Amino acid sequence: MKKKPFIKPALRLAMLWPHTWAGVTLGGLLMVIFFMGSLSVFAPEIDRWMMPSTRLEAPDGPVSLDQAVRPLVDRLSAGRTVQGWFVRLPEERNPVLTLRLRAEGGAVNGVATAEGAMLPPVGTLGASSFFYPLHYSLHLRMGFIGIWIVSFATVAMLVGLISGVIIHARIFKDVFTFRSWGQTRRSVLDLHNLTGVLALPFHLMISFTGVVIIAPIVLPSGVNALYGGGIEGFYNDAIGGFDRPRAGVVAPLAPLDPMVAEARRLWGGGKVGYVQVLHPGDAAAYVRVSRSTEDRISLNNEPVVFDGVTGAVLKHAPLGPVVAAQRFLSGLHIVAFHHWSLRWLYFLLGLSGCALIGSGLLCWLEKRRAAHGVRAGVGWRVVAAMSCATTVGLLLATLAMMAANRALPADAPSRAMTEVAVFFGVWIASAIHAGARSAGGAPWRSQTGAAAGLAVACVALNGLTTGDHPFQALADGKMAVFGVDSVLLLTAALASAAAFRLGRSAKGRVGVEEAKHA
Amino acid sequence: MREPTRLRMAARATAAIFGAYGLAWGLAAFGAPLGVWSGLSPADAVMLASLIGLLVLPLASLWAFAVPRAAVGWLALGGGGAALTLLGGLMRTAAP
Repeated sequence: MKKKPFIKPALRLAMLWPHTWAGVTLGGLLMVIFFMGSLSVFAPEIDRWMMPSTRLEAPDGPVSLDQAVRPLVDRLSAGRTVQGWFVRLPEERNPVLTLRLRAEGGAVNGVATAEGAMLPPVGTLGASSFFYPLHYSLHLRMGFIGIWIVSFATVAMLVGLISGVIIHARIFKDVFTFRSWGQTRRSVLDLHNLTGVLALPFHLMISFTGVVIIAPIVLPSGVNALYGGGIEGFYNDAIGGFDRPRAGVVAPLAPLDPMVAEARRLWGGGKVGYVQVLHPGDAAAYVRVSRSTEDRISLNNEPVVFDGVTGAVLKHAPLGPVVAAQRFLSGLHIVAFHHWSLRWLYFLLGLSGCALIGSGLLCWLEKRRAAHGVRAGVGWRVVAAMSCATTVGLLLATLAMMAANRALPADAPSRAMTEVAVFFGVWIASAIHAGARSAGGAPWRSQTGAAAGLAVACVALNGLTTGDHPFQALADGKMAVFGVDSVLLLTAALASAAAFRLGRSAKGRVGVEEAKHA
Repeated sequence: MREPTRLRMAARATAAIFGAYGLAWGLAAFGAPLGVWSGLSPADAVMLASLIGLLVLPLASLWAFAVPRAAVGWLALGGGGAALTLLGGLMRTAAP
């Protein structure tokens, strides 16, 4: 008796259309999300590389808010009324005090050493304020529009993964199949299957937890049903938010260090991540002390809210079980906890996601090339140019921004925005170049070669401008700098090898086509 | 499955995008008051309903391509979403 197949052939056939078209239409966007997400895993390390004045050692003991931080706040406010301020305390990966003030006449930011010495402005958005927001919001902040687009693409990724599993019946056999020799088309398909199957649990986890983080924003019907005040009211209730207006009566702010001690007692240990002070100097002042999550997977930072005048605890509520589960899933995505091997694994698996998406796009392109022969249609050319611009082009833009970061003088006017302009300028130029040259494929080889050159230039510029060349960084124990430099050099090596091989196969292809026409 | 014309594929694609989101919307809109009714705190109920909605979303989206007729997909996903949203609204007015 013949066994009935678990997945019917008709279903497999039906899954092919959404798999293909979700990938072809959203593959470029997903590539940006996956690449920037992979970089964000090491955002603090890239920040150290891009902000040389912050390449410091982490402090041994806790930082005193009253002695180190409050004088800085007074200095930054320069006599103006402060509506509120925020400080992130130094830790191993981020060894500086980061201050944000909301004062009369605008916001002021500052970076200082753990001892409380003000550092010059960093002059860059760095990875944490440029690559990371690009990953989850594409820098389109208005009305959460970027978050909506990224979430849509992420659900499409889940659709692609699930349909891919259904299409692909021989799932276990293919773990051991990679035919790198012979036809490009076959090895591209093998790479697509290999990265898809081997890293499937990671891709499913990272895509799902990615939307889980912002679940109440992108699926707000539950919030609408139970919270009249919208998303703000929900978050206040769910994760320990607290708000009260200014009283208009002057009252001095109580010492903050005892509040920190009390918060740590309530937590049963742990370190302070950040502290927020609202309405300082007012009778309605309050202070929120949040725990650092570096020792736990969950993003639950157990905020404790104190009365700013009396120092009494105003709010300290444990999370509900489902909200706690959501915080755990979010932490699983963000990987902010201390675990170096797992962090590298996230980085590599994130890049394997890029390989999965990229090889999928190439697979489609190679198949169409075989079907249509030499003459390429407009659709094919658009996908070819987009694939090139969102893979090598994106890498080029990232490297160009890092090179500009080290090449621009420290006191250049609007330095941070110039870097951003370089990023988008190079990216757009790469897309135009790819579009113009897409008739015979895309300029993969020349752009890959340029990426190799830029990566070497980044390492050289860092060595020249800061003196922290890889050997010096290693000797000084600046592992973040050494790590970024090493990955840059590895990128250069891989990119030159790829450019070399692309050159060879291009020659081969021209040869074959000439032979066909002969 | 009938011959896939452009119009039919468009009907399926829109069902997969808007119909599936409608169903997820309905699940969260109905699940949140249902969770409160069954004893969860409002924040937990909203979160649980949203998570279930998100879990169902990609599966519902693919199902729109697997059903024999696009109209069935639209009816089940869009109609189901609308019905659940309505039910959620009724629950809220019945037990404030």
